[in-house]
Amino acid sequence: MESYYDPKDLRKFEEIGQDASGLAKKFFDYYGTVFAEGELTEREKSLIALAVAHAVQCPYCIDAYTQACLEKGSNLGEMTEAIHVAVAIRGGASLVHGIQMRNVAQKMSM
Amino acid sequence: MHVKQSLQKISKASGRKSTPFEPFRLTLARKGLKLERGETKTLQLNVGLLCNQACRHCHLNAGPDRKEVLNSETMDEVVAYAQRSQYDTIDITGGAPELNPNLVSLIERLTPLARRIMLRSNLTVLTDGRRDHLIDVMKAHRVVIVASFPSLNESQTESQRGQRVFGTLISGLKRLNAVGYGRDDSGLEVNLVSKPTGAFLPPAQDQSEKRFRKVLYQKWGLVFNNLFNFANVPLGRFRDWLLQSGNFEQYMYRLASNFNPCTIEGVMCRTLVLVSWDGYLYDCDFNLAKGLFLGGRQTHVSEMAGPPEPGSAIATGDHCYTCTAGAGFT
Repeated sequence: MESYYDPKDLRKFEEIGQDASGLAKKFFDYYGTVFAEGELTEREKSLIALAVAHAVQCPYCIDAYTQACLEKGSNLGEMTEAIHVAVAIRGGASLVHGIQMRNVAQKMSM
Repeated sequence: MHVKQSLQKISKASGRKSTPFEPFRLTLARKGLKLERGETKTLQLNVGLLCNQACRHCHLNAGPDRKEVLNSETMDEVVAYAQRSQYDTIDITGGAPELNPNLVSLIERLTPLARRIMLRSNLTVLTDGRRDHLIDVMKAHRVVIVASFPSLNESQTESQRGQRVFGTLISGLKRLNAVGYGRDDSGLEVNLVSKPTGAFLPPAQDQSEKRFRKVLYQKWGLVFNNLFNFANVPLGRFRDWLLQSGNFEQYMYRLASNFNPCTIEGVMCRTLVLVSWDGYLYDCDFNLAKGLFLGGRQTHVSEMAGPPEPGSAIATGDHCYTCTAGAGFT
């Protein structure tokens, strides 16, 4: 069955730098720095990345950061809670716009 | 960081292989590395494969049905070897060494022969109600206990070690703390070993140790001296699980692609020799699991005049990638 996604493509990621290599270099240098230990630990950053991966629904990132979280000592419980954080934010973003709906409805309604 | 290195670092995280891994010996040759013995300071003794558990990550297939147990005749030969060799450290492992009927006698005979005696424990045997005398002997002889503690998470621990094990690990460590192990100024050392509960590499050791120390103390009032993270070796039951679950190739690729040449100097086979329950010598516990004798030749402990010579060859296989991945395994 054909699919737009092929897991093997993640390993080919480096090919993106074959064009516009200067931009790729800037991006990946920044990327490496972002995920290095800072005020947050590498483990905390991996859990955040996992949550964001689910928010943006990137299968490559979900694959990579599931493994990264496990390899930084996390577990299914923590990782599932992180996904729920993403869900809560995404759902909350829709729900809070409901106040705008209510404002409009109240203005128009008797 | 070079673009290619940055990209490789990110794409490696997926663990997806595109090519088979290179055999270990070819990697060494390609990088101009040689794996030879240094000064052998540690004698590791595997007292048998009998164990009260059958953990899924066990590279030796140890378990309750195993009959391989160090007997008193071989024990005498091992003690004589230790006497003429003057090792710095003697490290007793298994299976579950606590189940060996001669363990107390072995500890008492070996203690005068080395500066440090270590005992590997799965912690659960210590809670079976029959080990009080053993614990007293270990305390009296200041045996360093190296205890398996896979994870702070109960589900992860039990996926590897078996149902209802997590509670007995806590009880086992409590028992040791109660007699002074792990406490400041007691001189009684208990170290924890954590291995991943699946086909992935272990986390950074210093960060793991910080978390374990905080959580074990806050939740259960438990203390320990050091924590060590080791990767699982693709042998025995762990290898079987890797194959059955379809993780073998990906895991081997992960180990091989994380080969770190800086680890070669410190790998344990350079400074350790293992004697099995039947008296034969191996470069390490993993070579025992693989059936690779010391330097590729079957040698009995009675034939050895002393430690293996520095510069002598070490038998290797692809499982050696485990000890050379990332930060290494010492």
